[in-house]
Amino acid sequence: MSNNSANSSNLVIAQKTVKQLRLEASVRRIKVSQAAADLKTFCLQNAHKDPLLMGVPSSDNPFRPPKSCALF
Amino acid sequence: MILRLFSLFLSQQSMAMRQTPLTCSGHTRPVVDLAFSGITAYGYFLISACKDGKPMLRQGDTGDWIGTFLGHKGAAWGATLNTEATKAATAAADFTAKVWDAVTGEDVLTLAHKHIVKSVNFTQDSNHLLTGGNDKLIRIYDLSKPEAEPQEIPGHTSAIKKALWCNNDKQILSAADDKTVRLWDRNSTEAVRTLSFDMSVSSMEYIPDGEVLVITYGKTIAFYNALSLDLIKTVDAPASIHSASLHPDKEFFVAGGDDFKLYKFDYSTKEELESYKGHFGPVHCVRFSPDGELYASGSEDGTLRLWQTAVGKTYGLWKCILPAEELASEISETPYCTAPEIKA
Repeated sequence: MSNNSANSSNLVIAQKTVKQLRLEASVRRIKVSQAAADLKTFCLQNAHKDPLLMGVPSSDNPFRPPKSCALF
Repeated sequence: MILRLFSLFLSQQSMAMRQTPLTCSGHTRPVVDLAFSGITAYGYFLISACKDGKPMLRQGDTGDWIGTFLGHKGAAWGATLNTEATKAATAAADFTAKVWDAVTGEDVLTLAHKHIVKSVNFTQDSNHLLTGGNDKLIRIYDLSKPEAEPQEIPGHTSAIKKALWCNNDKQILSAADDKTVRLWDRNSTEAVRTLSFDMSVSSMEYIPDGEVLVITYGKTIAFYNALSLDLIKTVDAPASIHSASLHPDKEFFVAGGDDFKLYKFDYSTKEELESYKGHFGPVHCVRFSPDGELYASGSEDGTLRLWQTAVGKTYGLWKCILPAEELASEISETPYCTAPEIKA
């Protein structure tokens, strides 16, 4: 019966919705101002390890200007 | 989530200090109204009404998002909190006003109207709700008897923009597009005084302590005695003003409008003290916090910004850095709207 399958798919959709809402409700939340402060502290503390700020050593850099070219 | 770091350079004169506001995003459409609660044991709170139909509740001193009221099916035009921040009320384009439990976020009451509702206001005891909107009627709802018909006060000849309780909830002030502001007696429902203007009033604020009424129209901010509706003074601003708010100590007032800037004026001398840029769209509403330490502005750009009254002072998320160190001290935070998305 198409009515039965419609009912059961509504039930399935509703169950999925409840499951999703439960997942979302259990997410750990902190205040935005706290999150912003944490992000700022993280960035400042890890600044010395940041290649964009500190630069990449020439030996690791795949894009370093080549010193010589060899032709075979 | 976006993190922005700003430098705050302190100079010898406080006038020259640049102000960095706290930017609160989350709304996806223009913010048209905002209101603070009174000071509660948990601090004070701020509610913002937005054309996306999802009013938000925020912590008043930090701007931290607390929750979003979901339920309206149209743009929210007005929002208010009761003094204890336990109840919220919103007015929307879906022809309803809703009363919410501000602690749980639950939709407690839906009050059907015959047209767009623009304004909502609680009495001091939170037992009655005043509404006004495009149906030109002022209505008083008894929240202890929600099924009962509201008391209706006709009289305005066009859409009501704002309706506020005043004089200890014994009288009502209303501003409408018919270019009048009227003072009504609650019991007799008669208009006791009427003020007529050459143009539509853009906003109205009532200050119970001192009985001052702040009205804005065109480029003018006008101050009236709220009991007699006698004019106290008018001040002209450089641009068309949409909203103004008077500081609780009545030393200055702030105003914002079409040129995206926030202006700060000295109330006694009428002198323009400062102007602040920050918003990316016209400023629709400005309100001082109940302790007067900051003021919030809502704009067409969808953000709210919290501005310090005394720039450089340590308060909320703002920290005062001594001139010896030139440093970044302030965090601009952007809350996100977490209305659960249903992924079916």
